[in-house]
Amino acid sequence: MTTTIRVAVALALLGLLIGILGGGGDRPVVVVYTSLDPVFSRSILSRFEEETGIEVREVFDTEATKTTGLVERIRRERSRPLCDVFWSNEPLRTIRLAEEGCFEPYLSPAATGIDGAHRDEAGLWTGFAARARVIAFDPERISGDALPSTLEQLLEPRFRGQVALADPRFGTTGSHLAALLSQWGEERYRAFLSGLRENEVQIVGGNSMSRDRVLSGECLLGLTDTDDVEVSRRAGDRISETLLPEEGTLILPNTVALVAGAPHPREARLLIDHLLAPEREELLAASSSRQIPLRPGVPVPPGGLSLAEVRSAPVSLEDAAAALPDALRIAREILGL
Amino acid sequence: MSAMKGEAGSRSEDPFASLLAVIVAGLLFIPALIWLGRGESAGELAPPAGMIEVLLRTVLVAGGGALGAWILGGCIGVLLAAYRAPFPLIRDPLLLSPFLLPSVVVTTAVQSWLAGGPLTPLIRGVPGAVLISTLQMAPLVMWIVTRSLRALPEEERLALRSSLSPAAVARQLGRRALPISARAAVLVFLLLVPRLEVPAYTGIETVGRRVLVAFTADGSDLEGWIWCVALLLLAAPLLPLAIRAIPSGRAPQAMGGTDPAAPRSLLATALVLLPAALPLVGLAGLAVDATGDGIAGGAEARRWSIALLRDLLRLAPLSILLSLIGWRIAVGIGDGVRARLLLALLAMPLVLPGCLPALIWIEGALPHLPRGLAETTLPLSTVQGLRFVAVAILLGRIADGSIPSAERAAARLLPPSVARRRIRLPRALPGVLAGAGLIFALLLGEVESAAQIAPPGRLLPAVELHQLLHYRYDVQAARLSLAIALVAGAWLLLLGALGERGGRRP
Repeated sequence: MTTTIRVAVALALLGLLIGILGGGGDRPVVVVYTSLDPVFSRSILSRFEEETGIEVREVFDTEATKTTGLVERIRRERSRPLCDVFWSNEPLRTIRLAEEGCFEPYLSPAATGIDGAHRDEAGLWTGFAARARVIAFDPERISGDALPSTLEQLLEPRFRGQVALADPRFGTTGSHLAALLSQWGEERYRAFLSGLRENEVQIVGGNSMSRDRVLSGECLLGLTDTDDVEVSRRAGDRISETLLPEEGTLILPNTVALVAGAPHPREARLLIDHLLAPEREELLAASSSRQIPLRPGVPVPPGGLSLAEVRSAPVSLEDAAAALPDALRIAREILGL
Repeated sequence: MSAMKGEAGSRSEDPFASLLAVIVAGLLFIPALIWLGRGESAGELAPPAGMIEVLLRTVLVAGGGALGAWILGGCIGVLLAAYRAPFPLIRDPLLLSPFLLPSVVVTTAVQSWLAGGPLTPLIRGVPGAVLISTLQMAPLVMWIVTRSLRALPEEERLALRSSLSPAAVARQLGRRALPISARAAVLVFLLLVPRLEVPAYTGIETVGRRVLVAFTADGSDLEGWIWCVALLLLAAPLLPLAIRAIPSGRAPQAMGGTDPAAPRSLLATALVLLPAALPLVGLAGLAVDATGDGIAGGAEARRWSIALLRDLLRLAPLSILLSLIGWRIAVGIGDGVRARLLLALLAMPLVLPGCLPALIWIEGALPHLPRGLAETTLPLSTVQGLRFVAVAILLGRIADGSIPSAERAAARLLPPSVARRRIRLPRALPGVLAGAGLIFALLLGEVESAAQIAPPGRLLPAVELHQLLHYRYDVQAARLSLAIALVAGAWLLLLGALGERGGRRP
């Protein structure tokens, strides 16, 4: 028996070693941390692998810590980065990382046509293919006339307990609140959050859960992103969205940045060029994430969204990024998070 | 009594386990201390807002889930020990399936079945978190209870059967199962306290989420540490309590086998097996839905197969090693104050959210590792191993408790190392291997540290599941869930069979 145990332990150690170390190769490599969901990002990254022969090693985030998990990882790995390229599906936390010195400048030749509002002048980050913040609803439960056309209409008594909002400490909901603070000022922002609380807003774990509350009928309206609504619609669910025509819609582009001290800088620049090519915006616009191309000439498929048909909220991404910590602090204080 | 004293004495004199515990605890503490010492302003040191409320809610959810799992799992366990159910080889993995499935799958499945109907209040808020935790953790209690009851000496079981009716036997077994099931419930509590997924899906704020927010979102590290201390004070002392006084002196021959004297009961079998089989049948029905072939063509299927195989290669040996280490610490550690403190230290990574040890590792150890190693799964395996070593100790103690008193007494006549090698490990091996199966399931479903510290390019099935569920690829999620449950079940089955063999031929 003791021999059996020794053999078992030796085999276990060997297996563990293979399991831990296995899978290496001699190909050139680039490491990308991305909060864009793998179902969309994988096809783009696979194409890059096919075209260049460079192996892409990706790290994804989960819904629970959307974007913030990767941001924190980049911050904590700063003394010895493992990541080459940060591809985020929202801009504010990228801008904050850039301000903290986590990125180095790269002005990609592929970024031609992207306007100055959606990229950093020095090339610390560049935006492309955006999502919009929307209000999801079930068209059979609420008619188009009854829909809110501004966020503040959510505070009306008819929506008491009928609105779902994702936890603002993670993902794009936090970015949305930061944009509101920078746009409205503190007094109006506080009044809005207090109104939401008094109107018994339902705080849920993430944007997809906000959508799911609408699907299950527990809520009439759910604040979420365009892609969350679109994937559900394509899955056959009865769901639609409104873009807040009166006050404008917050547009949140993907951002890509070169990590300072990246272990594979040459490959990283090639990947950034690949991501910023107009074809990638076209691909994302046609996918079920239904993203909005930032360049005017990029074709949008039927049912897709173009920048021209979305009335953008007048928000500076840099101002919103600067307002993010205060926006979250106030949200935590008022919403009791 | 004198024998017990002698045994306790021999345990506390064993320096190896204490030394090992000190090293492991030290390894955990050093980076934590470095991190703590980074110097934040003392002015920020104030209890976070709503602390008492969040703490109470956390206790309510974890305590309610543990209590529910204790009652449900304990009853099923006793029922299974009192009656014979067919196909014993597949019965345990089937019954364990809610535990083998990642919690995000169980949660979304329960919520999608009940949401929107009159039972909606049952799946939201604290009741929802308690209900889902109960459903997922009851199989764990059930499994520990049946293992423990089947380890009763054969003559005792025969005596019970010959003198009492089946119902009276069940009552008698229930009474005997109380101490072990209570300890299993404590283990469930420890596993539930730091959980993030179920509370997030049911929409409640717990200490685990506060810790996650503090360290990864917009809070301060100091606030995170305040929450951690609260969590540790709440939960870590329970591990020594659970480990102490686990009954010992049982017969080894029936560990995992079926009591031949037990009567067959079709009703009991159906009552127990049907609810367990339903989720799997539901998943299988969804998984064969051809309309879901969209993204999961051959490429995705290949990707998942490779990912599962690589995780199997990594986690199967890791779970065995962890189980052996846990058993070794469990048999070597004494019952004194020092031992309890060490056990509390070892329980720390278990009761803290999984992201925290991962972040400590990233900041404290990763910069000092050669790049080649830093990009492997070594950091992830180390963090996960540290996280579940406390579970391994508890299961190791339960396995060691199955050794009969006579053999234990005989072992004391030998030098401790020889006794461990020749008697205690071979006798406890079925339990140790079965414990490895449970630890494997926990490791496979663990997503918190995996999301923080996964090496670039390494697809982890549990993390992938989150993405699929988020993007409503329900068919693909069902397929992957089923594959995860099958792999975990098959591994459990294999270990069970190996354990049975080992238990019969020491």
